[in-house]
Amino acid sequence: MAGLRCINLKKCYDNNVVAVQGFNLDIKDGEFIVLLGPSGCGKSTALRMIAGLEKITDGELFIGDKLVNTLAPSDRDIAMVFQNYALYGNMTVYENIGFSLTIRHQDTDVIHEKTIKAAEVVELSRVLNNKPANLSGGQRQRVALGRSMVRDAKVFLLDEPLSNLDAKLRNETRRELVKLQRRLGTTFIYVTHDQVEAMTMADRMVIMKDGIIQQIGTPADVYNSPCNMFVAGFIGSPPTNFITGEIKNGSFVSKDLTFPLIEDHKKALSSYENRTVIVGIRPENIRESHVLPVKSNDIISINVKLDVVELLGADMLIHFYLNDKMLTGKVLSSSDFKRDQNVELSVFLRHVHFFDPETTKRIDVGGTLCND
Amino acid sequence: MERLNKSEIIFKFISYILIGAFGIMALYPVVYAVSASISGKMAYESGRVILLPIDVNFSVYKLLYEDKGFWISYINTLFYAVYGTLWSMIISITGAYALAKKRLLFRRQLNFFIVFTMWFTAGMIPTYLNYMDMGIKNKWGIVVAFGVQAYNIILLRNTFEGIPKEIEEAAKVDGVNEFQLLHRIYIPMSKAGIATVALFYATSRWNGYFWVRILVKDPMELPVQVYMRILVENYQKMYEDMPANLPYAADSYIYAILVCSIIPVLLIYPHIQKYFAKGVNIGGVKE
Repeated sequence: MAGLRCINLKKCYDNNVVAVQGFNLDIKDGEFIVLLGPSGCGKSTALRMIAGLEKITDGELFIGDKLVNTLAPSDRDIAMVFQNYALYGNMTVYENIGFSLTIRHQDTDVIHEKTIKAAEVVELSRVLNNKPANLSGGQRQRVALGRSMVRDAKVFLLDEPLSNLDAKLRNETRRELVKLQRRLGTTFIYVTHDQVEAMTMADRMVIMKDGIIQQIGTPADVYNSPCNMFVAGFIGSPPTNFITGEIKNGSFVSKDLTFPLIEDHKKALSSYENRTVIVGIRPENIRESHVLPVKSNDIISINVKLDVVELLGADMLIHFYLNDKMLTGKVLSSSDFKRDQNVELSVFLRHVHFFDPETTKRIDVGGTLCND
Repeated sequence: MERLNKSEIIFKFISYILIGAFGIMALYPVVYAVSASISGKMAYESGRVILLPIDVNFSVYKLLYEDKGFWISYINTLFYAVYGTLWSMIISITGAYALAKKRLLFRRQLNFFIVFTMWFTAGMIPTYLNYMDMGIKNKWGIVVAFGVQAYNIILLRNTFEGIPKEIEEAAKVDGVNEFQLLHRIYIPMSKAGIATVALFYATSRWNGYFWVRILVKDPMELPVQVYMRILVENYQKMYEDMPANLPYAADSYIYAILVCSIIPVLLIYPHIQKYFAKGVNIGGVKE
């Protein structure tokens, strides 16, 4: 087991496309880190640099205290699980799991013992003689995990390992993975574009866009205090509603929505008087008014006509226009809202975020920008 | 069960007729050769043997068994087929493996040079002179000089390229070197392609006639195809030398050699044919 330190990692391909740059990340021993971002954001490239499958253009990578920039993947003491499993189709489950030990010419008894143990952990003992073609998707993914475990690697790298599984199996395997990581106590670096996976599994998550880290933090930090508009929009489903307006006389004023600032926001936005800002309101902070117990200064009411209503089960998404701006809210399905219905909604002002339109960064308490 | 419509029935009917006719066309010469080799002299020479043997006797095979020249040529053919195929496969697999790697320096140019030999050949005389200059005039020379066919290399290269790069990356993380990657991963995963190419090489080596006839001078190194051809060329002499009271015709002797020469192919083919059906990498990666 070991921590990992990435110092200013950069990946530039031969055609001058920069896939990752300024990648700085300290990972503690035994930590579960999730790299999250949309397709093409550089998260897989970053993982592959750590694995040694992509050459690092610039920067330094330490696994434990060892600089591993130029080491081959097999010498980095890492294990990797691929999105499409990458099992050896010509070998049985037993041979697949024990392959890395066989290649390293380990003693047959040791190979057998470790393979059987790994197979037990991933619950594949009964299918050891099967070939991958005769396994279900979940079993194949567990073979890939078993193959990684057998070597007692210092760091586990997982590249979207659940994306080929169906929704039910994905949920189960997600929980199993978290339990497995806790049991092994090994550092896990997990790449995904699925924010639910990231939120539920990560000790800390790294949000990336265009090859640059946008924010590093615990799932709660990232959700509650998004560093910029990208993170605020990317984390949370449906995405945050953004409205552009101005700060005037202690109020946020726009043609779509106007509301007085609460005290905390007044302090943060004191230097933005008569300047443009963007307010971000999560759909879950736009609720039906009639379920709220009391009125308070932190809540404003808006009267809207619903445009689209989507029932999700326990919750219901409502889409409506404020002037020309379409916003989304999330209400309890028991509200029984209907399309074209006129309803009164409440906006929770304490949970809204303000962003600087030039930098797109969140304006912190004290008027500073996030990360500055 | 879904009923076929009229056009589908007609299509299937014509397909079966054509496939059946083609099968009979392919099978008839084999059956005829066997029949001709074991039919009696009178029956054969009077033209009564059309499909099945008449006046069956195996005395021609007894004579063949005692023909030293036949056995030497037969063993030579086995030599050409086994060593030739082995050598060709070593060259083709290693070459195709290298060409399948995107990181190979001058990969495009090398691929072009190989494909170019499929479009353009130097012609028979320059090729002959080239072989002569290289001193190709014995068994080993034939085995080595006819090492590869561009088509087979391309076929194998495409097979190797079909293996997902994640498999190679997983193997590298597991700690394989380039040689282990080839013989532990690529070759077992490409059994279908390799079996196909090996069969191509083996049949081409087994049936190799022209260049062996032209280049190999030592009669003790000639394969069975050349031996058979020489017999055909000397047919008139053989016919005249043959005692009149023999129970078989002179042609039967040649047909018997022909039958013996196709036996190994008939024995091996069913074992290799199973690999044609499917590859072994099914399930290794999520499609």
